[in-house]
Amino acid sequence: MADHLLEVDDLTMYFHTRDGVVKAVDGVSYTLDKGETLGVVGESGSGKSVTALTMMGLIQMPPGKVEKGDAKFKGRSLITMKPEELRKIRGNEMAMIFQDPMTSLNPVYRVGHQVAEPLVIHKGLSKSEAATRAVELLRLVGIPNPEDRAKDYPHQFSGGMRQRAMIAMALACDPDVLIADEPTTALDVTIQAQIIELMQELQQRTGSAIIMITHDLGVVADMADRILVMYAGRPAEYGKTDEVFYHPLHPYTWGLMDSIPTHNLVEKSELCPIKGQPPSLVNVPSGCAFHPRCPYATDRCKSEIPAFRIIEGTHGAACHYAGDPDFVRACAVGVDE
Amino acid sequence: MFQYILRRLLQFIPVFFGVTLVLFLIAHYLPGADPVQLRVGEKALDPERKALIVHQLGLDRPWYVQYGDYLSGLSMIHPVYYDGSEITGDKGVRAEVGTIAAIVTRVQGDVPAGGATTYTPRSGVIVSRGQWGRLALGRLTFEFDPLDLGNSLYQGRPVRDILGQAYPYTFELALAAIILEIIIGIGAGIVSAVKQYSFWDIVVTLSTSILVSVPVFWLGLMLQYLFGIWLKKLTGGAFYLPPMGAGGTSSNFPTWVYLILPAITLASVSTAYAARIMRSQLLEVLGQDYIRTARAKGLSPSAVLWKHAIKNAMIPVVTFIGLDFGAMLAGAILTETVFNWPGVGSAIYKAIVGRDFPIVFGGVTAILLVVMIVNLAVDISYAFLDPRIRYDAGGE
Amino acid sequence: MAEHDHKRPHDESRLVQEHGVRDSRSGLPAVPPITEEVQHLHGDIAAGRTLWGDAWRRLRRNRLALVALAWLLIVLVSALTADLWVGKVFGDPKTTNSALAMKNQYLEPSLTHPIGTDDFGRDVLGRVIYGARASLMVGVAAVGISVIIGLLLGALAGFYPGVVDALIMRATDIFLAFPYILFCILILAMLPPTVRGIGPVILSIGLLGWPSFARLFRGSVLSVKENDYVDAGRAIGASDARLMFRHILPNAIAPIIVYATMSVGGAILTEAALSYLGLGIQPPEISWGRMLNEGSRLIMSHPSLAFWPGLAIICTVVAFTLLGDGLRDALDVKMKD
Repeated sequence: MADHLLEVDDLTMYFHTRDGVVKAVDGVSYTLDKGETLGVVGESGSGKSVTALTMMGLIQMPPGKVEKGDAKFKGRSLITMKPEELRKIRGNEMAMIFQDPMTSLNPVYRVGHQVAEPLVIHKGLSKSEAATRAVELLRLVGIPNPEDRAKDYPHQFSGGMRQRAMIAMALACDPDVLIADEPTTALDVTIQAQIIELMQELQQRTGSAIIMITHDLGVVADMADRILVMYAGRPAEYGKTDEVFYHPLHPYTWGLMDSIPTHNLVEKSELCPIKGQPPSLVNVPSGCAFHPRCPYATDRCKSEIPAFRIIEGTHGAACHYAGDPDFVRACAVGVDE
Repeated sequence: MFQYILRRLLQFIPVFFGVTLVLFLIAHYLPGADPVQLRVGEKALDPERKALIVHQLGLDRPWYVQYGDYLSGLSMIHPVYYDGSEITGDKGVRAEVGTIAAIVTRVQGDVPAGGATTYTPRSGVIVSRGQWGRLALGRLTFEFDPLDLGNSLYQGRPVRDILGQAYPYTFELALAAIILEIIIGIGAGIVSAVKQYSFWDIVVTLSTSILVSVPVFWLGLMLQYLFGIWLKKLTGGAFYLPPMGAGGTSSNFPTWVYLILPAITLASVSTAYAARIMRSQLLEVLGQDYIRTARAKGLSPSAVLWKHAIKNAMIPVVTFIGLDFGAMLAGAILTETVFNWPGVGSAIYKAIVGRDFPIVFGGVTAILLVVMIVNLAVDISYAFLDPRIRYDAGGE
Repeated sequence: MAEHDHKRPHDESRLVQEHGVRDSRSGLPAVPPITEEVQHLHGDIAAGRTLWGDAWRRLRRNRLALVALAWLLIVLVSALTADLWVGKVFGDPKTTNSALAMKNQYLEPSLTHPIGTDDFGRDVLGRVIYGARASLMVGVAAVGISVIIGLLLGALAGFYPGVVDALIMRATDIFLAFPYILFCILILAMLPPTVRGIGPVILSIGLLGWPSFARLFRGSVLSVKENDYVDAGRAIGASDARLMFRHILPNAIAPIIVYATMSVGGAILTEAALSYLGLGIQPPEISWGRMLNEGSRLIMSHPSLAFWPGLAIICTVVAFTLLGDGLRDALDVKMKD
């Protein structure tokens, strides 16, 4: 794998506001290849969405500022690129869909028009050509009667259909990377499954890479090839899906696993639930950001920021004691209540 | 969509009756005012004569009957009763006549077979009834006429004529003001929102905040002085003397020059509101998710602004400006008074000073009617502007 | 970690949770017996702690609002005390003595007459100060009337949905259809000049302003009615009126206060317009609008006569608006219309 499709390297982006510096993205790294699916997991406020938005150039640059690091798409830096250049990639080779389909579609334009728009801008199609293609796209995402539905307005669509339309819109220009930011959170459970299925189908057909951002581990368990767990803007753990699920390294990941309602993947009964709230990104705790909520935190955790270390292959975590078997055993014994 | 329109129309009906009822109550039962004097002028009347006039004006009948009569012309009195400087001694049969299209009145006495009937309540004044037709059903007769607002006390003309002559001026003024408001208000609002917190934004926000607190007529006076005296040399005396009456006096300038200052004055406060609303609406829209989607699709910033954002933000703004047009017609009275612009407002003001009540009442009524109709039209137009209403969510 | 003791009755613990009253000795939630007085105490304490105390603190931080408040206090004090001192310092502001007029007409600004004299030789500054009385009185009294009527009708509409509510709402529609000024002009024009004066002005402005307050209060009543502690109050038999006064009013009053403050500015502008047309304050009484009326005739020769009262109006109206804005932020009121 000489050249990755997308390569994020120590990407760091802070917001400089009147109330302080918000460390939204703090040293995130990962790679993405063609056809691969990356699951980015974390609570709200973990920076998982902001990372993607930064790459897409959708963050307002004051007050935001990329402090260091880079994100390369097809070898070109998205960060240092000129805005006009980035705009040509956005919606074209890299596309994004968002959480709430209700509010993410413009209420005063017909759905067909909105789906066709990227084709007109990026591929130079005429309005009628784009409109025809839009109908095809709507059909592709499973919307019945697409010729008629394309003439409808968003408020005439149901929630699930709206999200399908969003997907159609994102796929219009055959993007190499599709970023899905919590695509199913605002939908009800049965529709969620349909949308996930649809995305997998489309991925098989088009071969595009997907970044699936979610707080729901159940969603990525199926779909993702790799998982990045984020906490307080920093990467907590990264690795292949099986590795992360069956041999989690970071105490935060342990906590997340335990909160899965349906799966019962882990046999270790000594894992315990995480209490507390995610930290404010303006006042990130000293040392390891997770230490206030970590039941196993030591003094070292409070003072020293753990660097992200590879433990095995591509699987790594940012914890001083990651992969330390004595430590894991000690936790297993001491915490049971 | 039709449901929406229907609902609006249905809501309009009680409002219409409510408003006319309030007007009626003011005309007949305002505490402190003498209904006879309002209709006949202020002169001393001995009790006998007064009682006769009361009877002839129909002021001794039950209030609902009077209300019905009132609705028939929306005027304070019916011309057939009033004859100007003297009330005839004839107590004979009165034909209660006059309708506005499709509103009923009762008719007593002999009903002419067909066609319009004419009355001469006073020399020089001919009133015609049933001009648009007549329909008899038993004791009820429907007569269809254009709107009648009574006769002036001292000008010897029907109020309708006076207002008809004045209306084009007011309309012209309001139109000019609206155009100014649209261009400047919307423009300033957009710039202010797009370049938030910039110098321009601060200027707009500050000046609109102050303008909203300025008495419109004071602004007019100041402008008049500013351009008429201070800058007299610069503007060649164009604004020194406001026009007197219709064609202006000996003026070296085309009439539209005289429109400039009044239009600016009338537009000023409204423009401030429009700019603020445009700004806040646009800011709100720019924060919406679908704008983020548009950006994510790779649209250029100007395309995002003009194609996606403004189209959404404009809907309430357009509605506001539409309603404002009605408000301008109403508020023109102050501006016209300052600049002596011969519109409806001026006519009303002169009538107030001259105590010519039918003109005051008729003028206010006419403006109210227009405002109500404009508001209704704007309300209904909203259905066409917002696709969410135009196409009811049926396919869910 | 101690949890709430759920042995206590449901209503009580909810009240405690909402108002957070704690027993000072044990630190546990204090639950005194539920009597009516205590109910009110809870409500009042909650209102006191969360609304007024905080509000005052927040208001103090808003410099613009404080400046506005200072100006308004100056105006108010001058208005209230005008009778006592204006005559002595500036000469009789109402005089129509023609001998005096000939002597002092149109004097230039000087130490004794800081902004000159008018066509009757009266000191303009003195008249402006004196005029504050009538203008303020009209503003405050008219809004007061609107508020009282509005509160009454709004409460009725909120408490008795159905016919009563519908009727009152229709009435607001009807009154809102009137352009403000026209209505007042009509009423005042129909009155013979002898009857005109400050009373009718106040009444006509006040009688037209109630719909907004009624709608506002009705909204508050409707939303507060949903609240649990009102139900709890009802459960112990508090009457409608009592509920209204003790529970609903403190919470619902905030938007009313804000809107009332801002409305005073509008009332002052309306008074100015009416007096300018000759329908309001009658000579020799003074108000700012009245001064504008007299000044307008001399605008081309002596613009200062109209300029200063206009400026006074602008400053005062702006002050009321700023104060209203400040109150809205301080009371954290979200007003929907």
